[in-house]
Amino acid sequence: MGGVAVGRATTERTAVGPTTGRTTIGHATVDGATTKRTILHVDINSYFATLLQQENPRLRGRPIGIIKDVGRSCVIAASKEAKQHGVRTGSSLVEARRRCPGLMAVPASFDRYLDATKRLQRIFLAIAPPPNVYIFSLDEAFIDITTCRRYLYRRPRWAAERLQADIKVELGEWVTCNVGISHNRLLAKIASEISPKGSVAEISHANLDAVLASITFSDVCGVGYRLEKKLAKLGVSRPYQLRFYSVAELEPVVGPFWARELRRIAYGREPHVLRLIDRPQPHMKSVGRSITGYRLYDDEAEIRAILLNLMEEVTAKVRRMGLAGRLAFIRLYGHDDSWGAHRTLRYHLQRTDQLFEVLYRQLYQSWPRRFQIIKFWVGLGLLQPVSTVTPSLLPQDGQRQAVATAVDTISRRYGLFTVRSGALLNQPIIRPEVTGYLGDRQYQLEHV
Amino acid sequence: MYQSINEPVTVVGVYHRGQFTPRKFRWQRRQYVIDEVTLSSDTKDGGVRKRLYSVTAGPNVYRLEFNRETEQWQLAELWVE
Repeated sequence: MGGVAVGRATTERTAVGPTTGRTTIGHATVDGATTKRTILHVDINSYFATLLQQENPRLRGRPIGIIKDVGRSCVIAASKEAKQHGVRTGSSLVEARRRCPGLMAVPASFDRYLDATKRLQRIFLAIAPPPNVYIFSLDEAFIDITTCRRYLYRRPRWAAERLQADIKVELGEWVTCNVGISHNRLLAKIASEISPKGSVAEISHANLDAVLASITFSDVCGVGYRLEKKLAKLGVSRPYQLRFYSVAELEPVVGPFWARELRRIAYGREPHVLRLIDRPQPHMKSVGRSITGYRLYDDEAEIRAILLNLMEEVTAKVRRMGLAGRLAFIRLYGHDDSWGAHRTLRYHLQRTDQLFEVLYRQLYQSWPRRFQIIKFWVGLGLLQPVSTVTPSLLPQDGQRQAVATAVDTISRRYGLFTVRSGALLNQPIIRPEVTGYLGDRQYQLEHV
Repeated sequence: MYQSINEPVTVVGVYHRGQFTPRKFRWQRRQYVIDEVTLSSDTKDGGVRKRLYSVTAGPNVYRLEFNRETEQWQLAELWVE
């Protein structure tokens, strides 16, 4: 999104005026006339739980904790009724039930959430054409309506209210969303965060300072818990207060990167994480896959099978996107310890046998094994399109590649792991799933 | 909690403006009249496309699954408390 390059429209990026030092942000040129940029941020309220309540009227109005699967103990999403009792995403089920004794734990249906997100994407694209829609996560999107404001939505609130109505028609009456309106993504997101459920809120230049002086950092995209704690040591709890600190004063506390980022946030300008959206990304840079087990693992055969299973998924995704990578990485987590390693290769790979050789036979085997494992994470980075990579001329590589291509054809027709390594035959298969923040959005929205 | 059933069912419904809406289904020789389709989703299992309808019939909630490859219906799950 962001690049409002549709038709004759162009966007001016954030720029500091050379003489005055004043910053101009969020202005676009439409048909020769400078128009204030208008961004909508749509946030579906308690997405996973709301969809479940839409689907099942018997769950409406009841506190629900969504868990990944039967037997899991981490609440990955909570309904608004559960949130009122203090149940938060990431709470353990025991803790959640202590806070809310009537809490009902229901397993997630990731396939259905992803389908709902794709249907939401179609609604957003009916409001503003590509590239003005950016799906930020499964339940959030930015829509740049600058170019269509002149003819369709003279008041941005009209677009916001139309969105809310269309979402109800498409997904159901129970599904509500907040829409934030502002001249950049940071403020649009803050507006939707702080507004009541199912409402529309706007941050303009008129109320900007008041908003930044009243919110806390938990409402600000990109500022995490640790950073918030560091700022608390300075006595800073609200973005507006940062205006009274120079970069030099902030640097010793938060480091050079965040000192500058926080100064931007203090004035309501987009931080790096949101500016990245403007950067064209023709393909994914890396693909990773992690899984948290039901228990601690120390059996070598089990660990090997889990790692192989995760690597199969990673390489299948990489091949599906026509990519190959040369940065292999692995990280293992214990109860309160972790170990990780990576290797940058001189060649690109995209097959499981190649990744397994590096991650398992070379890196994992060098690990001194000091703890039992609860979480596994593997991945492949520095991805490039296969068409730009020098192919291996070794005949055995050609044969293995032909096998991988044949397996991919079968997987595409009958599903991943229909044909799989013998090492996975007697193991429960870990199947692909989407995550709430949709880190692999390009794959999920364009290739699945 | 949803309980897996995965049994074949017969479904009757209407097509209106290119959209199919199930109206009733027959499961284990009993007929269930659908009061409301609360959510429908398209999912993919490999190349096999499926459409999942969550429906209410009386006090109960059912998940009906239509396999778009084999064109067969099954009652996938039933909500029980």
